[in-house]
Amino acid sequence: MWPQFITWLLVIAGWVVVHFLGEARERRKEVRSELDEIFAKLREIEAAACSLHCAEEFSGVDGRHVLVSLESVERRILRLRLFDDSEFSRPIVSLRQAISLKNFTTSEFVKQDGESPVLAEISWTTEELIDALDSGYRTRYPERFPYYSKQAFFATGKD
Amino acid sequence: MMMKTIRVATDFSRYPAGRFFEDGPNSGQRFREEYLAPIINDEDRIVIDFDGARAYGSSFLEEAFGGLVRERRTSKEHALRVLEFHSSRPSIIAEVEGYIREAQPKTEA
Repeated sequence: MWPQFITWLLVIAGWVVVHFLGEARERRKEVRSELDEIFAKLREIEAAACSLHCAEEFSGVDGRHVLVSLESVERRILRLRLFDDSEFSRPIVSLRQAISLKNFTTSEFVKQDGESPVLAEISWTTEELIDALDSGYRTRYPERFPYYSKQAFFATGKD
Repeated sequence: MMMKTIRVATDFSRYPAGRFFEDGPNSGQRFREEYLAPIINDEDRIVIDFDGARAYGSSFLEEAFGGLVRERRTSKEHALRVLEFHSSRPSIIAEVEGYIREAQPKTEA
């Protein structure tokens, strides 16, 4: 009686562990895939922002498009519920400032060239944000055993 | 306690943009001078709800909120005490609070 009970307990426990780890692995793959899409989107935003600053005149429509795209990326990052707000708020603010704090109004716009510090700042802050997100992912899903950290299993961020 | 809520999207514009009056009808300078400055020293609490409006630019946010201190509409300490920010995007709140903290009042000529 007892040996049978223990056997079944082990079988069930084993099934639970394998199922749980399988779900965690699927989650990791989904997160990685979503992050790769976010990175691609950030590169598009970087290109669009640079084009905007290099145009002959300021376009409010293009400016709005770039900022709406950045908003969309920020919401995707929030929905991942993977990062604490403090981890990516600062890089997001830095990128938004690089794009839209200076040379982003009709009254102050001057066409930029390739050597412009505005363009350099946009590129740098884009890299900073991508690096912050990738670093956060690798903290939660390390490349060595056990391959998952405690943070990967518990949702973060606000509801 | 006297409290007022300003919902940017419905009370001001769904697409705030630009820094100065000459940049357009929904500029940061207009938001500051027509919505914030008249009440900042009269209310105990002012809630600014950023949700619903799109494409906040840093130039708009800096002129609207950093400008409150820079243009001497109120003190930095009073602004941080009275203003309360609501947004589903934490980066907006972080950015606006940063502008208020970093703003330096213009020296009077």
